[in-house]
Amino acid sequence: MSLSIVGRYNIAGGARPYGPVQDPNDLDSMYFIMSYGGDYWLYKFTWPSTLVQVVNLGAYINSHTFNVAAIANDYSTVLGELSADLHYCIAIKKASTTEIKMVDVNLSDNSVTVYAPGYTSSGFSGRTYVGYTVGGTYFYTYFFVAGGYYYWEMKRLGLDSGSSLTANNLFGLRSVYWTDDNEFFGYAGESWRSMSLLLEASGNPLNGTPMIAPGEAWGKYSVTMWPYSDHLDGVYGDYPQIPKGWDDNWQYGFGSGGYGGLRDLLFYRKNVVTLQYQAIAVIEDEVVAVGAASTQAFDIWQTGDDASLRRMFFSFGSTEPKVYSSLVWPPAVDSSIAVDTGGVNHHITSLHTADEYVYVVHFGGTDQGTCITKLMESELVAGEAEPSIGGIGARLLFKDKRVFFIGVPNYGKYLWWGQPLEPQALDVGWDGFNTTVFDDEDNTSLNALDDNIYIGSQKGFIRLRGKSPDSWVLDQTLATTGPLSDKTSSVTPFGLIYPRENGLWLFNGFTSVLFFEKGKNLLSNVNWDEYARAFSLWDGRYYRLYYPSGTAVENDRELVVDLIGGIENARGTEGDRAATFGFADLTTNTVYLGDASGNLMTLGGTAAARTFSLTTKEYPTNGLLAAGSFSALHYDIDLAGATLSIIPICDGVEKAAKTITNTTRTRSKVSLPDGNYYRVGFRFEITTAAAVKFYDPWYLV
Amino acid sequence: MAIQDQRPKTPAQRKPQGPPEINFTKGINTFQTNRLLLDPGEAATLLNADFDQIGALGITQANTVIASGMGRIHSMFKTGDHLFVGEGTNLVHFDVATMVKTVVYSAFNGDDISMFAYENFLYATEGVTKKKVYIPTLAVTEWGIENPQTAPAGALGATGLPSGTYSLYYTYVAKYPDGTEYETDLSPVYPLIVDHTKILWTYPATAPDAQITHLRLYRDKSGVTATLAQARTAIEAKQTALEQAAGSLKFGNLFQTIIRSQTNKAVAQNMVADPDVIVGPFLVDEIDLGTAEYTDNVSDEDLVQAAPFSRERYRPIFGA
Repeated sequence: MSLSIVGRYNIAGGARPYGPVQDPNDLDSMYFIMSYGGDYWLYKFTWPSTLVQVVNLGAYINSHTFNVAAIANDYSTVLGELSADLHYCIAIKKASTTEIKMVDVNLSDNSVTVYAPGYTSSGFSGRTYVGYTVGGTYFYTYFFVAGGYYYWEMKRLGLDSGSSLTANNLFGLRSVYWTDDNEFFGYAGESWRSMSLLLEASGNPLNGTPMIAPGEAWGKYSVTMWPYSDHLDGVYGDYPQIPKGWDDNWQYGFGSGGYGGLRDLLFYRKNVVTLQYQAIAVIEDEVVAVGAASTQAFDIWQTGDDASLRRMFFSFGSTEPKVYSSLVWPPAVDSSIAVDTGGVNHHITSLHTADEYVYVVHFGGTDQGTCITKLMESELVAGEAEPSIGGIGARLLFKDKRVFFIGVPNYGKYLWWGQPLEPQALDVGWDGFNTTVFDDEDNTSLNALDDNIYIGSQKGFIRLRGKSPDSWVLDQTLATTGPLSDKTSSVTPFGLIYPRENGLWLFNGFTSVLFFEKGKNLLSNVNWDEYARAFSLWDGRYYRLYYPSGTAVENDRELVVDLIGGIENARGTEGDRAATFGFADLTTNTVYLGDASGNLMTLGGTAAARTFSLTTKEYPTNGLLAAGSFSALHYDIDLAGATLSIIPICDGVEKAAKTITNTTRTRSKVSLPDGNYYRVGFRFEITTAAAVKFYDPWYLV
Repeated sequence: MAIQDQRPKTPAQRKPQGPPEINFTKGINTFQTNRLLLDPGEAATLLNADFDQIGALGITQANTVIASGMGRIHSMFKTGDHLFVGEGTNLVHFDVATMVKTVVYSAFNGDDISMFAYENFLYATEGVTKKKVYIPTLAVTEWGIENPQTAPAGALGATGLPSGTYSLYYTYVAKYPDGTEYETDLSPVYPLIVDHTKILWTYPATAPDAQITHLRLYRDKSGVTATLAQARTAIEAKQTALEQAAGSLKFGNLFQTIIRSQTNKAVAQNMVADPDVIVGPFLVDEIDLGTAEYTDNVSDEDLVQAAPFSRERYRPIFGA
C-alpha cells in the first residue's frame, strides 16, 4: 500500500493549469487549460510526453483569471458511459467582466467550437460554480454567479448563448452543490440561509424555485455542506449539529467533497491555535483525522466515485507539497510522496484516477512550470474497509515441523515457509524462507485448523492442504470476510473466531458467519486507531477479546463470550480489564495477562471493587401489573454484605431504585412500583469486592 | 356443525401461566435489540459479569499480580512451566513454579514477539531478529547455524600413506545436553595435492554462533570439487547392497544414522565395500571447538562416513 512515482512530465514555463479532465476514451490523456503567451489555450496531454495545443481560447492579456470553474463531462448518455464529446465550461474573469464560455471539443479530431459570446456579465465579484444536468437529452451547464454579498444568479448555458434562469437575493452565496437527482443546493453563510432548486429530469428547463430552508441557521463559519435526506447537512463551527467529535480548537476548514454515503465527507479543518490544517473524514457523523497537520492545505480527492471506496488522496504543504494516500476508515495515512521538490507557489490543481494510476497536475512555480506526475497506487481497488494492522511483526505458525509466518513488515502479502524437519535448520537470515504470494492481499492471520493451514486476509481465507510443498494445494474458501489482525483471531473447537467491525465471526474451514453481532453495548466503542494492540485468547471455554475503547491507546476493555453451550448459545459480557497481551494455558486453565505498567498477572482472583450492571429483558405484563397481579420481585441472591440497586424500568421509564442487602444467600422479595404498566424490566447495579451471586430464577409475583 | 373459535378471548380466559421468571445467565443477546423479544435470561446490557458457575451469575474479579517491574508487556508464550514474556526489547523468562525472573535476551526491537516451542527450544522473533532459547539453560542463539563461510586450509605434513588430490571441508555442529544435535552444510572447499604425506588441517578455532560446539572435518579423494549430489548418487547406487548388509534399514533411516551418529561405523563401512563407486566427502574426524589444527593420516579406513546432504533450502514450490 504505497505510492510511487511512475514518471513526471514538466512543461517548462507552464503557468498554473486549470481544470484537468481525463479523456474518456483514453485514460492516459487529459485536457487542461493553461495560459501561454497571454492567451488561454486548451491543451491535450497524453502520457508520457505528448503535449498538444488544441485551441486558443482567447486572449486575456493583462487580465487575471478569476476562475475556471470546472470542466464538465457530458454525462447525458446513459449508464455512465461518457459521450465522445467533451464539453468545457469555462468561466473567466476579464478585467471587471465575468465571461462564461461554452466550449465543445470534438475528441475525434480535436476540433473545438467555442460558442460565443457565451454569457457575459459584469459587476460580479463573487464566485462561480458550475454543475451539469444528468440524464437529460441535452447537455446544459448551470452557473451560479454570486455577486457581492446580496445577489446571485443561476445561468444555464448549453450550446447556445445561454440564458439567465433565476436570480435572487441571498447573502453571500458561499457554495453550491448539486445531486444526481438534478437538485441544486446552495447556502449563504452570513445570511444563515440555504436554498434548494429542483430541476426536471431532463434538466431543461429549470423548474425549481429557490427555497430558503426554514428553521436552521448556518453559522458564519460554515465550511461545507452536503445534501442529506430532505435537507442540507454541513460542517461548521460551534453549532449544535456539528458532527460528533468536533473540537472547538478546530473552528473552520475549507475544501470538501461528499464522499460516498450521505453522511460521509472529506474536508480540511484548521486549528485556530496552531494555524495548521488537517485532512478530516466524517464517516457516519464521526469526525476522524486522516492526515498529518500542515501549515497549508491544498486539495483533497477521493478515489473514484464508488461509494464503497474508502481511500482518499490529499495534498499538503507549501514548499514541498506532498500527496498522501489515506485509508479513510479506519483513518490512516499509509503513504506519502513529494510531488515536487523545487520552486515556490506550488499548487496541485487536480487529480484523476485511471485504473491503478493517479495523475497529479500541479504548478511547480517558475522553476518547475506545470508538472504532471503519474503515481501508482497499489490499492486503488474497490473493496471493503481496510483497517490498518501495521506493526504486528512476524506471526509464526509451527506445523508439521515446519515454520510458517506472515506479517513481517513489508512482506504482508506473503506466506513464508521454512524448510522441513527442524526449525534449527533454518538459515540465519530471512532469505532462507520460501514465499507464496496471495493475490496482492495483505495476510492478516495464520492458523492451523482441521489439519490444514488457513491464511486469512480481510477478504477471506485461503486453505493450504497437504503435508509438504510437493503436495500442497491452495484452495479459496467461501468466506468473504477475514480477520483484521492475527492477534485477535483464535482457534477454538468450533472454528476460528475473529472480530470484525460488525461483531464476532466464526470461520469453520469453509465459510465464515457472523455469530455474535456488535451491539449497542457490545464492541460499540472500539478505538480502531489502536486496534493493532487488540488481542484475543481462547481459554478452553471463553473467547476473550481485549481491545482499546474510546480514545484509550491501550486495551482497557474485555469482551468475554462463553461458549460452554456451543456457538448457538454463546453468551457474552463486557468488562473493564486492562491487558496488553496474554496467554491462555489450557493445561492448567490459567490465563496470564500483562499490562502497560509491566505487571504480569493471572486473570481474576483478587477481591477488588468492581462495578457490575445488568439490564434484563422487558417482560410484557398485559396490564396485569396494574391489576395487582405482579406486585413484587422475588429474588434469590447472595450479596455477601454488599448492597444491590434494583431499578425497575416500567414502560421504558426508570423508576426509583430499591436496594437490598444480605450476608448469605437469601430468597426474599421487593415490592414493585404501582401503575398501569404493560412491560417491565430491571437494571441491577452494584459496585463491590464481595463475591456476589445471582441465582436463577427470580420471579415476578 | 360450525367450528367454534375456542381461542381465549381475554387475558382472564387464557390458560393460567406461572409467574414470569427473571433469569440472568444467558448473557447479552446482540442480534435482538427489542428488549421485549429477548429470551428469558438474555440481557440487554451486561458489564463485568462472571459466568463461571452454571445457573448463577457472579461479578468478575480483578487480576492477581504475580510479577511486576517490567516495561509494557506486549508478548507472551508458555511451554511447560516456562513462561516467556516480551516487554520492551527484552525477552523475559519466568519459572512458573518459583516465578524467578530471568532476562534471556534484551535486543529485540520492541515490537510484538511471536513465539513457538519445539523440543527443548523456544523460537522467538519480532520480524527482524530471530532468537532461539535452549530452555534448560536459557542459552540464546540464532535459530539456525550459518554454513561455514571460509574454507579450511591444508598443508603437507610428515611422510604418510596417501597420494592424490584431496578436497577438504568442514561443518559446524551444535550439540546440546539433551542429545539434540544439528550440523550445517559443508564449508567452501580447499583442494590439496598429496604425495605420500599426511595432511595438516587448519580451520577456525572459534565459531560465529554460541550454539556451535564442534567442527567436523570432511575429505574427498575424487580430485575434483565434490558435490553432495555426487555423494547422494553414490549412496543411492549402493542402497540395495546396504539394505542387504544392514537388514531392514531403509535408506532414509540409514542416512539419518550416518549423519547423526559417530558410532555406526560398521554400517557405514558397507558403503566403502566398493571404493570405485563410493565418492563424495567422508568424515575425517570431529573436532572440539577451540582447536585449530589437525593432523590427518589418510587411510582407507577413514573413509567411513558421508557428509550431510544439502538441505535444499530454497526449493520453490509456488513461485516467488
